[in-house]
Amino acid sequence: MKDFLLRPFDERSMNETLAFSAFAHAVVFFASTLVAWLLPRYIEPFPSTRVEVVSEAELQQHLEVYRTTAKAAARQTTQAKQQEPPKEEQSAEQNKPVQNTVSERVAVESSKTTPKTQEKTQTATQEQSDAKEEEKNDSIDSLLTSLEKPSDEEATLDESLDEALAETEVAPSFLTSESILTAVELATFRRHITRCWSPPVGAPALENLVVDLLLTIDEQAYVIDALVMDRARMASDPFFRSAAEAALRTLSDKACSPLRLPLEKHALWKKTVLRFDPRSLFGS
Amino acid sequence: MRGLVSRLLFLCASLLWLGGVLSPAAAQLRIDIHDGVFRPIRLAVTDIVRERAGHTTANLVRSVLESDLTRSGLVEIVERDALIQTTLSLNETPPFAVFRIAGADALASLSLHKKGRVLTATLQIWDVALERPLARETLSARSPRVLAHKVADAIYSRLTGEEGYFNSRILYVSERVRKKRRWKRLEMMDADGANKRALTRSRRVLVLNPRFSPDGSKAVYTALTREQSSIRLIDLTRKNREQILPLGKGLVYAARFSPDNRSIVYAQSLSGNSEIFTYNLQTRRKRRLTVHPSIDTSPSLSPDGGYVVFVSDRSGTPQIYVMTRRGTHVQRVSFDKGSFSTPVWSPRGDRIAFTRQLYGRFGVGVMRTDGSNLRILAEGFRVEGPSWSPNGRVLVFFNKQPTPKGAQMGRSRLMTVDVTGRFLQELSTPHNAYDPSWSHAQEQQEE
Repeated sequence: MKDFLLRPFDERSMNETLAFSAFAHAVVFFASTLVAWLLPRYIEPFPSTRVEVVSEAELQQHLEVYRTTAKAAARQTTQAKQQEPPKEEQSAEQNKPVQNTVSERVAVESSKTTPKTQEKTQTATQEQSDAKEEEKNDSIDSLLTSLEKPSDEEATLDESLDEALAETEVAPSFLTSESILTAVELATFRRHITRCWSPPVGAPALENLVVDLLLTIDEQAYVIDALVMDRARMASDPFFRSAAEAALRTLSDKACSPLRLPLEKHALWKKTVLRFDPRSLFGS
Repeated sequence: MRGLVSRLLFLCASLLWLGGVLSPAAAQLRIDIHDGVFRPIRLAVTDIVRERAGHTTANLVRSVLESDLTRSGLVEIVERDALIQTTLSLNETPPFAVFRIAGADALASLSLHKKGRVLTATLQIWDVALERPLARETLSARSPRVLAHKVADAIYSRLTGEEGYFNSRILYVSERVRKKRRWKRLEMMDADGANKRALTRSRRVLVLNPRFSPDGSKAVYTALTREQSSIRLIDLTRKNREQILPLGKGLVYAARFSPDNRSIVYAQSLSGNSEIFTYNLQTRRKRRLTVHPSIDTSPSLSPDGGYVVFVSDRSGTPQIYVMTRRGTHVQRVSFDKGSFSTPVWSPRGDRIAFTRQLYGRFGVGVMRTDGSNLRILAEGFRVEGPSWSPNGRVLVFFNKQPTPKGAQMGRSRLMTVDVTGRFLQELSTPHNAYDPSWSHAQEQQEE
């Protein structure tokens, strides 16, 4: 190889050149394949490439789909619960620490929130089953009661599901991941910050008043440090300085502290760049 | 050797690539905030520390500066009763938590010192939210009102980033009615409506379109008598001495100064055709800018003096046009419905204010210099004649009400509105007021 490279062009044979060319092409091909295979694996865990801005309409669509699927799944779970004996239910719950689907999480959440009610329903079902054995002739009555009961439970499930959605404790299954902020979490954060930000109204050239802040946030979502990224303009441009101070004031506002971020994802947002962009406001 | 260099280069490139792709330090969440809720900056003002200055003077300074800042709409004064601590010396770091409880975002403390006839104020501004000093300034003036305006300007400027406009004046036409006879005279007042004084007194002259010179030392206005119309120049620094400009025959009107104070642009009607001219006040030379059979009027120069915005009905209805100062490259910039009039170029240079008449109603609005982003800021029965504040943020105009039954005429008053259209306020005048013109000089000259 070394001899081939160092030898002058006119001394190289055609066969040697062709062989070298084929070898070089093969090396490049394998290298690029390897890079293409490895690259996504390395990039995937890093959030900066994964966080996407989701519009309000898209968010509503996702939520609608989520509501319907989650409700259907919740109904199925309720029906399954009714069919299964109570002891089996308990054991199944104990043996299942990881909640894989949203419907399961919602069902478990709702059951966790009302343990007394659950006990009551369990004892009630036990008594009912005893009664059933004793009074097999009254099958029509028991059927009627079983038809009535699910409607009440469905209503309570709907309520608990709505509450869960409103509080955004449960994320849609297709968005849930440890490495990204979900659309709901982002929307919650934005809605919260929006209430505290007083944008620079009527300032000239709003397109130049976009302020980027680098935040260091602790595990309880309190801002430890906030730095204006364009420090040079802070000293030279009074309009930008006022806009930046307004942005900093937003973060020191008690109403917006701590930030509404999912605490379990601290690794994801401990360093955050927050961009205050007034361009869409008041015309420029 | 060459092989070693190439290997090192390859190694460096690989490390850079790996560093860029794999480094966790590069991982930062990015979130954009596009929406907000406007609220004024809440400012707490502590008691003024007096040194040889009287209690009345201190109270006057405080009330004027608070009134100025409140009128701007961008600053809200925290009520004194809400403050736990009302005194603070200039060299003392304030207890920020105490002022934060009162809901203050910023804090201003002031000391007043009088030496001879000169009042000196030392101002210290603090950011309560960020717990740090923002500015310290020393300002002086003979009049407590002027000093208060200067202090208000300094606070406004530091908190908003914009130039203050409180230490400025407004020219306007005041109309009086007595025994079914009405006459108009030229008056001047401070930007907050105080210190009104008359500049003309003749009842035989009808005063129209007064305009300040950019340095605030002169003013021009159109004077109509039974015999003729003329443009008159007033020197405000020489006891309001008047001079009639020799602009020739015909109806002359709508004069404005150029940004360099050396010339004026105006409209002149000769045998029914109105055209735009410039007149150099130093060389006394006149130059015609437009040559068109339609009516061209209401010229106003851009802050750099390179362009003229004016009104022409060459397209059928009065619309706004822009041309170079030499009268070339005429371009229409307004394409909206209605009739446009009185275009004025903003001192910032980014917008043009105008009056629009549509379906029998008047409106004052702004648009970009290319005609885009047209917004009407105030509408009414007769809302007309906008003039920009020195910082290009606020407009003053007049608003005439319809005549009520049994009355001789409707009331006409001066109003101000900011460029967002949020803060609409009245400037009180005892008589009917028309055609306001805001001075663009930052320093008000003390008499």
